[in-house]
Amino acid sequence: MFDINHGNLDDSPDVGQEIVRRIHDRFGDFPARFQKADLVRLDVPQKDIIPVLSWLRTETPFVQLTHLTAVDWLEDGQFELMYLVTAPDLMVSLHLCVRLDRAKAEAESVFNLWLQAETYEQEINEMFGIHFPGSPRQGVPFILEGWRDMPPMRRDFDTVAYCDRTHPVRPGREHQDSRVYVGRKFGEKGYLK
Amino acid sequence: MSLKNVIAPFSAWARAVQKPFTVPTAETFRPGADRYRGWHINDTEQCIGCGTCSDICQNSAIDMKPVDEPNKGDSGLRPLVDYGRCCWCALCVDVCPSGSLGLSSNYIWIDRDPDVFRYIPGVDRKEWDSDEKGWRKDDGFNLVDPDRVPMPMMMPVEDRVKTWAEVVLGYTEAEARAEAARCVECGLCVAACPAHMHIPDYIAAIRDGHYDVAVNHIYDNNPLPEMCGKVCTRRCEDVCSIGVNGDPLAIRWLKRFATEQFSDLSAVLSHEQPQIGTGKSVAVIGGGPGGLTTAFYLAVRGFKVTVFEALPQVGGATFFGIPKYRFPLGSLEKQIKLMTDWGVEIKTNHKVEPDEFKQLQQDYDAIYIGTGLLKPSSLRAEGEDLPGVMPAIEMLIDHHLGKTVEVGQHVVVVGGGNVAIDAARISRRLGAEVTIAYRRRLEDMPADYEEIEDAEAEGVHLMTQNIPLRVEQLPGGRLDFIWGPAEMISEGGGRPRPKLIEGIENHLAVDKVIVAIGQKPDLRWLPADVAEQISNSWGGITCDENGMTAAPGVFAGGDLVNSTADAISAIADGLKAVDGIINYLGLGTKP
Repeated sequence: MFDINHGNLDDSPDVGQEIVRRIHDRFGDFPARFQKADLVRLDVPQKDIIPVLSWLRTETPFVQLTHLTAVDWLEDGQFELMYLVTAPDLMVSLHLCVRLDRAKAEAESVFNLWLQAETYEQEINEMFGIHFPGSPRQGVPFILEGWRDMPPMRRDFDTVAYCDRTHPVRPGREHQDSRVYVGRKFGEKGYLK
Repeated sequence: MSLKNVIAPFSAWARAVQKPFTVPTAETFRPGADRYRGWHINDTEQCIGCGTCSDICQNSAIDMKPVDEPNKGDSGLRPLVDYGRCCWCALCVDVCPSGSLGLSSNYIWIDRDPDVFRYIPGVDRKEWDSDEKGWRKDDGFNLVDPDRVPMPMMMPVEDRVKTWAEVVLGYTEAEARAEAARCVECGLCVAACPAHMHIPDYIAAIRDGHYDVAVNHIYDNNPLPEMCGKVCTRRCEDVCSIGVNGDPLAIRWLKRFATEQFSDLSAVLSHEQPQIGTGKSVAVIGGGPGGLTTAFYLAVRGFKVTVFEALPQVGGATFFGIPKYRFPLGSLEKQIKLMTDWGVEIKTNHKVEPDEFKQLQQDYDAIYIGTGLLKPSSLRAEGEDLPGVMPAIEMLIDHHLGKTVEVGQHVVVVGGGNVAIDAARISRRLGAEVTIAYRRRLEDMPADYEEIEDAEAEGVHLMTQNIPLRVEQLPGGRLDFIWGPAEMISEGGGRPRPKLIEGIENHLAVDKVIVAIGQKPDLRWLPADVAEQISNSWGGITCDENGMTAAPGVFAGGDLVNSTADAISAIADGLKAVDGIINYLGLGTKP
């Protein structure tokens, strides 16, 4: 695909380096990490992510949304969305990472760029509680039918407490903590305390 | 109503003879993918029962259960999985320190009874136990850091042999906390430690930065922890679950770190022991680790305890045996000071004689004997009595009492234990070229592996599978150390034993031959009737489960009694004697 400013990306000896150079020229100096020969990670501010994705989708060989997922950075008060965008003809992928405010938990949809984003955004909406306004199936259960709890992939979701509520321990279970068990078995003793 | 609607119910009957679209999974087995996460499998031979799988489980689906035939050195527990709660996330597999746990690719198991979906993988046999496929921990993938924080050394190796300064520098706070954070708190170390120290508890306290709490855990059943923190034989590290597929936790260095944080121990230590021993007195003969342990923990209970030590300084082998570059005198004195501060009376330069022993039996309510092994085993080769052939133990005692020890230009040290290594490294520091002659292989050496490495780094030459034949006098006062090579013979199930290859004689010209092939008991200081009553076939002392000898009220411990002959075993014997003496005097809590 031809770029009027830079020439044909397909001819570049290192597509990863070249696409990062073009993104830097066009949008700003985002931190880039060359993770593998065919994978580059870019940390993009939230205000720039839609312009970058639109440009990649329409004006470069990076036309395929391979994956969209999220990470809960609880301690930082942020969510991170991770778009994996691939140039299928060149077999090179860009990993575009965006931090969001965890309290607001809202991001623009990319459903209008890639139809399949609808499903990814539905899943992230259900699992992390991140809202994508305008995405078609927000709030429609994906796999969690009748879920009334906190979105389960949020890290402050207490899995054990949920498990205890919904799948009560059946009678007959008995756990021995190895630390305590060993101490008792070998007669561990204190002489001051 | 259309014609279609009328016909439809009947046309459906046509489906009854068609092949169904669905797959009857119960009858037709479809194998899972190569990395499928199905039912658990566990190699129970490899599993050590550390319970890390149970700890990490996000659903509390795993219980640790006692099993009938545990392996030696493990907890005796094995994981039981409750499939009413398991979500097959495989975190248990990914964290497993021994790598024994896996998930098979089998996912089909049908039963009407919900309670059967709960079993101990590997113990309750299942048809998928031998499944090669399924989820396993990836090679090189570890949720727990397998690499130990390296211990910094005081100076470059070439300078070490010029000084008696302590070699090991000790962890910084950041290093200690990083190392402590690798612990999974399984407690296998507690079982391996002869004194059953509260190891996971003090490591957790170090990790959290609560060093005063750590020291209180440490002193709870070891009154010489700074010594153990520097020179312990650390059997705890041999069984560490992280050590199965990585470096074991540096338990010894962490203990050292915690105890070195406080110069005044009585300011951080506390105890609330009832003073049950008021008015009772105990004599401790021999101020080694075992005797000091008994003395210390009886003194905190109000007993009047007197320690009788023949040498000018208590500490036993940790004083006269262990070189100061490993265990400086100040470090020992700091620990002894706490004992005297807390009421232990110490009489040094006081060797108990037979008559006095009888008097002690009259004057004290109980006696503890911990005089150790001081009589050197002889070389058992021609020329063993030549001047210049000397026992390592005598050399170490002379050296530590400040006497001049002449080692000449070149010495050979015969033996492979820690005493041999200590004699070799001291000789290096005295300026000699040193060769160690050991009859078995390097991997058979009983000495601590880090000691061996350090000795080699300091220029000690190791000769293994080397059997001394005889020692001859050379002109000019030197000695000819004549040895033959050995081959290793495996017989039965025991470790291979060295066998002399006949007909080969090698010569090594040396100034001294230092013999470090063990020590024997010497009970000649006891009255003959008492020695007769309490000693056993090898000249040591046999005790009952309370640490008491055949003579009522006379307890014993340490190298005289146990077969391991290390400081921490002596401390464990001392603890046993504390309980034994309290019970013997009828002061124990009534059941």
